[in-house]
Amino acid sequence: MKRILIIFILILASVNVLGIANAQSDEEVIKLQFATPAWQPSCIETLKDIINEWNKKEEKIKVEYIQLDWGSIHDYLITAFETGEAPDIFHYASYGVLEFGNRGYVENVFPLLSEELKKDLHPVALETITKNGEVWGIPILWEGDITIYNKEIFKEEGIDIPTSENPWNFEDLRAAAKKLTTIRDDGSVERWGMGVGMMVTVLTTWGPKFNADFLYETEDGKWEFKIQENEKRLIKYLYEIYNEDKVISPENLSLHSHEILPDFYKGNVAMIPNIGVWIRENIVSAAPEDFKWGVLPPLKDKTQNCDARTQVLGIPAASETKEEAMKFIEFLVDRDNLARIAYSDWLFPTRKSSLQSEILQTDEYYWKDCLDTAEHMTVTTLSRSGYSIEIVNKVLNPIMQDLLNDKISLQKAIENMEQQAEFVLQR
Amino acid sequence: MKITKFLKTKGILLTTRNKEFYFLLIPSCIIILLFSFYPLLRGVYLGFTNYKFGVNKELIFTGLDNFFILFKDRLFLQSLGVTVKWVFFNVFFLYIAGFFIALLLNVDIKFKEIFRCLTLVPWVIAPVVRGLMWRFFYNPSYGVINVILKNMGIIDNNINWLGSYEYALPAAIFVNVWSTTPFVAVALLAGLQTIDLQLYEASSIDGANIFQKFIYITLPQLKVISITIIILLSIWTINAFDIVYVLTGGGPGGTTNLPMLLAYNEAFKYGRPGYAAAIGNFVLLFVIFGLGFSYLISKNRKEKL
Repeated sequence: MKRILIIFILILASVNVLGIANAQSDEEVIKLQFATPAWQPSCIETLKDIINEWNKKEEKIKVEYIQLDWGSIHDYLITAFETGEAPDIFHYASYGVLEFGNRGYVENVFPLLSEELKKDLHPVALETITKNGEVWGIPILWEGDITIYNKEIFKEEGIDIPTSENPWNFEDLRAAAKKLTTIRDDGSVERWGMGVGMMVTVLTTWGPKFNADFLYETEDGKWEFKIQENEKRLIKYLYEIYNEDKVISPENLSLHSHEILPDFYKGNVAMIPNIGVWIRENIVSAAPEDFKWGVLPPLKDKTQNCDARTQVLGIPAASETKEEAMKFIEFLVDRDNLARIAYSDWLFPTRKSSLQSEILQTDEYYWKDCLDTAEHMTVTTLSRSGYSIEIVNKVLNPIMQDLLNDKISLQKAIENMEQQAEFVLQR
Repeated sequence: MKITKFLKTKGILLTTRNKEFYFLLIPSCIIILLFSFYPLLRGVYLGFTNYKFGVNKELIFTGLDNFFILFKDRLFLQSLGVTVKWVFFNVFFLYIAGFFIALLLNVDIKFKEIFRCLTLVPWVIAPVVRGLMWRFFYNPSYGVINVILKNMGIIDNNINWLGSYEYALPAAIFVNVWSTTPFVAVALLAGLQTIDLQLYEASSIDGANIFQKFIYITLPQLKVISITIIILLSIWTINAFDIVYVLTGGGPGGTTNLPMLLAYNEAFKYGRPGYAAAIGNFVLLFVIFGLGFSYLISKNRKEKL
């Protein structure tokens, strides 16, 4: 009996000692969760590699990779913030993080940034995520849009390719699209001049080129939605190319741009004028081998500007490991690592120095042509207001669909937009 | 004393025996109260508040304010019209299709068990997967539906099923009918099998033909289960949003916008759970009203019988 008692006491003691030792080592190591919706396999691999490099190098701060999905990330993060379960570092789009900033969920990271990073980040990229002087996240990648075209069809139809010095304006685009649209003997369309999916995305990304802001800041800091001459001209332009020129397939109208690609590869669509720069990965991996394609310089109306949207790394305001998180972020987005991430995600980096990186300054896959877009980035009032998602979903998208389907007149569409936007902004 | 005895026999006051009975009910009552009743009441209450997601947001009781906004909300008003069409056509086609399949499955054929299992397949698939699958089928340029219809010579040009004002709602209804029909079929099949075969035999002796048997025996015998199914289907379809969310996202131009889709977006996209709860309350009221109405109808009929 005595022996059993001694053994029992010894076991208890050893468990205790081990437990304390474990607890001590747990106390020393800080574990951070890094949640990202990165989806391109090459980008996921790069991120994981960088995390592994960090975990090998760093003993006290360990980072765990958590996979999110673009389709559900907003809902996931909003519920995570509400329940206090948000990951220590999260990767998301600037328009969403701005909204989280308005709700007080995310930390102003500006005081935590190193001087080197502050200077190196593109000022417009920082502006995409700044409100009232507070920076809600670290912008890492630009989301740019490009125009891709089928080289053979352009050659067949004798279309001159515009250059960076002499880019197309919107009348040039229209004329080319008309020329590229071909009709069969029975009157049906054989080939469409342009492939455009959700017209609302075109409306918002071409907005800056037309100086069409939609949202205007009043003197008392409130937002007012107005359809003025520029906005009206853009809406009318989109209506006319769809309904009068008939150069865009009605079949594509509810699709996302990337869903038009099969038609682009088949030659049923001659060009796609508003598609994410990341789409090049899909073309390289999925297009037929002999498919010849190119990238056109950014279109120009009053300006060549593009709606600047960035991908951002954020830190929850409730986090207790902000400084540790920032240490890791500084490593993740150092000059070379950020270039690696951008290259593997087929996007451009927001650090000026990374943009000059050798792997990106190449003509392969039109990297250099695409980098042109980065020079024309500008922050729209719509993105800056934090109302972007709601105005697009509730106002611009449904009413544009009504207009394009001739359910309402242009005048009625403008009235509806203003009324509906007023309803959104008042709440 | 007499009163106590009376109450005990009526089951109002506990006897020693049914004290144990109530004791055994406690665990399930706690679970129902905690996980079903409390969230429901809380949800109803939130509909009367200004609850918004965010740090240090105060929860203020705002009375009927949300409902006043609701009736100014163009998207919500539009969604009510969509709901009427959505519920009516879904329930109608689900019942007809379910009945038809139940009758087929009730026939004595070889491998009928296998057929019965196969019928369940669409119902077993997760709703979002069904939605994504059908999004591919409906794709205007490479979707299988356009290809089949073109090969059969029914259409000349591809149709943008989910993007056109005419076809988006019917296309979504079709997917919902396709996926929920198995439930209706199995429930009606169970009902069909409870019908006493002697009734059919007796009617055969009386010279009834197959249609007369169907109208005078099968239909009346399935009345109770049919009412239950129709009530359940109405509740489910009014609350369904997953398929529409994946297929059309409410578009084009709001032609497939359902109130529950709006509620989801209000809560999780725009961070206004209070307003979303108000939409939920409105739908709840709608369902309670519908249920009460159908209950009264069935009660009246029973009394007449």
